[in-house]
Amino acid sequence: MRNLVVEQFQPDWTVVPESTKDLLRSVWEKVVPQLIRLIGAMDIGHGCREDVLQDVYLAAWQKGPADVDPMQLQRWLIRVTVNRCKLEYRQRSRWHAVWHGLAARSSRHGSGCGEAAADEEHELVRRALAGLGHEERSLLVLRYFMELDSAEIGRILEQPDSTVRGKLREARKQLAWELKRAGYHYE
Amino acid sequence: MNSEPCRVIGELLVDFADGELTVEQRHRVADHLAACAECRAELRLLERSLELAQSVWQEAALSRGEGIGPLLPAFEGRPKLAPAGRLRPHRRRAIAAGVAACIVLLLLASTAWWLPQLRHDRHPPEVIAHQEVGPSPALSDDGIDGFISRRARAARLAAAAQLLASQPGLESYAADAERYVEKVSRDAK
Repeated sequence: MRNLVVEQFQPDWTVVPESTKDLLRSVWEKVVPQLIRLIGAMDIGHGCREDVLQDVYLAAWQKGPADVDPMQLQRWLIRVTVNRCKLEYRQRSRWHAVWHGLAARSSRHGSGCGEAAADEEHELVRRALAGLGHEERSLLVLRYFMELDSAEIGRILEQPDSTVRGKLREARKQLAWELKRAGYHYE
Repeated sequence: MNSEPCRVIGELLVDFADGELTVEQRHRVADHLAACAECRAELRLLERSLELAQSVWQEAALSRGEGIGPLLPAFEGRPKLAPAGRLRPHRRRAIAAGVAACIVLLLLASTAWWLPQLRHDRHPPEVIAHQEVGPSPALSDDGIDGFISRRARAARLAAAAQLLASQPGLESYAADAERYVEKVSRDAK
């Protein structure tokens, strides 16, 4: 970790009931691979992924819901992770994106024709995804990458199923439109 | 996608691609797609954009996820992060470096502007010009001697005129003498 703060994170075990402690531990271990996939797909930078995970863990200890079943706690953790990723997007500067774009371009030099074409295609998609709003992007990731259905996404984000489906529909259309706008031509 | 049927079908294309339509709606969309090349292209773009996005997410998840495994067991006992939303140390360092770079640039720019000004103040242009030109070629030993003796004579005459002016009844003579001294001084230059 690259933090200078020397204070150590030690949950106050005395005030956390034994049942909550066990529940959080068991759910955390089960859900953390999912959270890592989610954070990765949300395009959170390499240096920030641990920060995001640790923040979610910290939030679970400090503000986690009490008297809930494991499923509810799991949904709560996913929601907190999505929100934390959105916060990360907001903190990212435009220059950060430009810099990464330049770095990606320079790293493509010297690759084969097939690889270059695939990279080009991926770059267009990344640009198209970047053109979407934070909410649309996270909905698409939850539905089409984490493979959660719209009803489950609705429960996680505390929104009605119909709202989620409507937003997903718009997000899909916008993604196709952004891709077209970014210069993608599909034959 | 300009005609009314295309617009109606366009609203159903995402659900059609996701297999979330009723049998009746599905048949309706399929019938329209069989006859409309534009809607078929739209559907293909929807499907292809999702395929590409999934491949990008997969790639990102693999590259972002690697190396995080050993950190999983617990965060307890590890250095505590600043709460989300506050500036993390690496961001603070980046901002501090930016500010330092700005200050250095500002100092360099102001130095570049002030140096010519200081040089100008220390060496006024006429002095520099004189130094560059050197001693006048018209000056010679005889010329210098003549100049000094003329100035000395003028000074003696001025002193005599002052003495005369202090004597009663000789004021007009002293005034004439002063005019003469002035003339001689001008000529001496």
